[in-house]
Amino acid sequence: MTVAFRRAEISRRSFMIGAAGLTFGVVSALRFPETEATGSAELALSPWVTISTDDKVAIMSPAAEMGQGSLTSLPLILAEELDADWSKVRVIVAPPNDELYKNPAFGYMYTAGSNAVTAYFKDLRRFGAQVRKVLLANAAQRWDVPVEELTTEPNVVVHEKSGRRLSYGEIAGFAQIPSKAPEVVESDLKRPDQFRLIGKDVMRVELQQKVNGTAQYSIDVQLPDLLYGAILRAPVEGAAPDATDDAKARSIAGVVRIVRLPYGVGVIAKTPWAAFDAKDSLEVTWSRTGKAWGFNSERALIAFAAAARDMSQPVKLWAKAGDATAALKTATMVVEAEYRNDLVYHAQMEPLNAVASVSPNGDACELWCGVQSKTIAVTVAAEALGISSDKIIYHDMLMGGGFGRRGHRDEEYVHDAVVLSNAVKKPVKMMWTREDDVHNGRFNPLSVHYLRAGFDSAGNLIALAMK
Amino acid sequence: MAWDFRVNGQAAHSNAPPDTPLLWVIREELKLTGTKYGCGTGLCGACMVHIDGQRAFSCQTQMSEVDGKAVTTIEGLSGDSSHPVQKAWLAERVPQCGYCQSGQIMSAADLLVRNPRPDRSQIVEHMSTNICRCGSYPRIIRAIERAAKEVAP
Repeated sequence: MTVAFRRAEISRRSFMIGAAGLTFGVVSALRFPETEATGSAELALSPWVTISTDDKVAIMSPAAEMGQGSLTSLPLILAEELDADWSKVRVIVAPPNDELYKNPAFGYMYTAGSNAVTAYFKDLRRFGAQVRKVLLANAAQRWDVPVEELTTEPNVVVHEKSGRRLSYGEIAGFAQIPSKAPEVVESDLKRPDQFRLIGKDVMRVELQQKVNGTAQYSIDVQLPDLLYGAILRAPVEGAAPDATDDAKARSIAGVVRIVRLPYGVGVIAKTPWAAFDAKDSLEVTWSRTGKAWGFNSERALIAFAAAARDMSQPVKLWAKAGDATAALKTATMVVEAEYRNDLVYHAQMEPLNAVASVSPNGDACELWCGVQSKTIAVTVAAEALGISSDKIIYHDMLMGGGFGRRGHRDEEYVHDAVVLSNAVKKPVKMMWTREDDVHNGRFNPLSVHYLRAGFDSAGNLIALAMK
Repeated sequence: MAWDFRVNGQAAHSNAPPDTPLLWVIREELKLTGTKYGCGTGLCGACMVHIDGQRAFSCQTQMSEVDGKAVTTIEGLSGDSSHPVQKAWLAERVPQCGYCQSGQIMSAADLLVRNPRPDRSQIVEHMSTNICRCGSYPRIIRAIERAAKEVAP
């Protein structure tokens, strides 16, 4: 089994809504260079599955891989119901397309909240079972036998009565795709005791690359004529550069361009060290706009704690069952606790970065990034350039950790890369230093929780109030 | 200035300024991107390489210190992921996001050269130079114990 991080090329000829209300039908031109090299043909049986005549099964993986393993686990769920031979499966990273590959829990391609497996589970089983049904129907027609007499073994349709067998690859050589997706009912799915893959110890598809240095994160991207970008962002959100003294930055060998932005100052250079040096030597006076000037988190936490304990202040109820306030008054014993939650940095190991290459006339952009929502990244790039999303060529990269930091609606580090590349119309690897990553952090918010628990004389909990 | 050194057994050359961190030359000039940038201040270990057979933070090593030296990166540890530490890393399924793992592996390989039979506390002490945000530490320790059995049965 292999994994392809190269961009899957998809052009849709037609889509039909199947009987089960699922997108099905024909996807053409899902191309894999290795297959072309071997001269085997391939058949897209659904937007999720392509089977080639050399018996390889390509399965789309729709979630973002940031170390949690869903690059492997999601296609594995589909492979289970397809009854695919996992050793013949190639995992393909799904391209940005919310309609086809959205996380059912969110309605778009977004990997967060530890829900990829649970959210995609039912649909992926159904998608796998649908393709298996198509293969069975084609084999039944070829052998002129009732489909009920057929079973599958990994990658093989079997007619036990006659001892005949057809591999999935052989069927791909002649299969007709139905115009309507086959309906899948519960009894079409495997019982858990029939699982060959789910629940088994399966090697993650990208793990080999993570022990020999070949795993590709966006920070690793290399391109001809690649320039390096750094950005000094405002000290607080909403502030803007008023005056910039960039004389020293410009004097650094290798600096190509200083770029004024509404929220900071960017530097483009021929080497990363020149870009970082130049960024550090910028002298910027910031406007006093923005709300956070003078904010002191230690003082804020003390104020939050006082507010949490002050019962005279109005509250907004989150949840209520019974009457804790009244019950507390009857309690024999009340236990109080205060929990302080400080600002917390995401601290993903790979400082945020992205690579963008804007075309010479600014009407298209190639993008390399590791993000928790690739369709957001495409939108961010398109909006930054004022062009349509179909002009963005997106390359999916592994993430050196996500932890929620790469899933914001603005994916601002992607924006940074795009605007810097747009300034020079050349490929730019925009990197935040670790210091930038902290400085531009979107920390876990401050909060103080004040809890009271009331117990009766027998020690039973009779009231719980949390503010 | 010009620097001549060796990387993974091959001659390497750079004209970067003397105070340029070796890390960036390895990554962006030599295109050996397995060595990672994590902090730039010697706090995380993602940039760990071997210089003349000793582990070193490549982000804390300036080009002026590298001239004439022999550098080994994760790409040069073995040609085929067959180093006992790499095999043990796969067997124990160590990596999650994987970003810190080149550095972890280079540190672990350095330990086993120096001390082929480390006990658990020696492993923990030696590996304290490297951090992992995914929290793969228990598997890192198990993998080093496994690799040690192969190195010094």
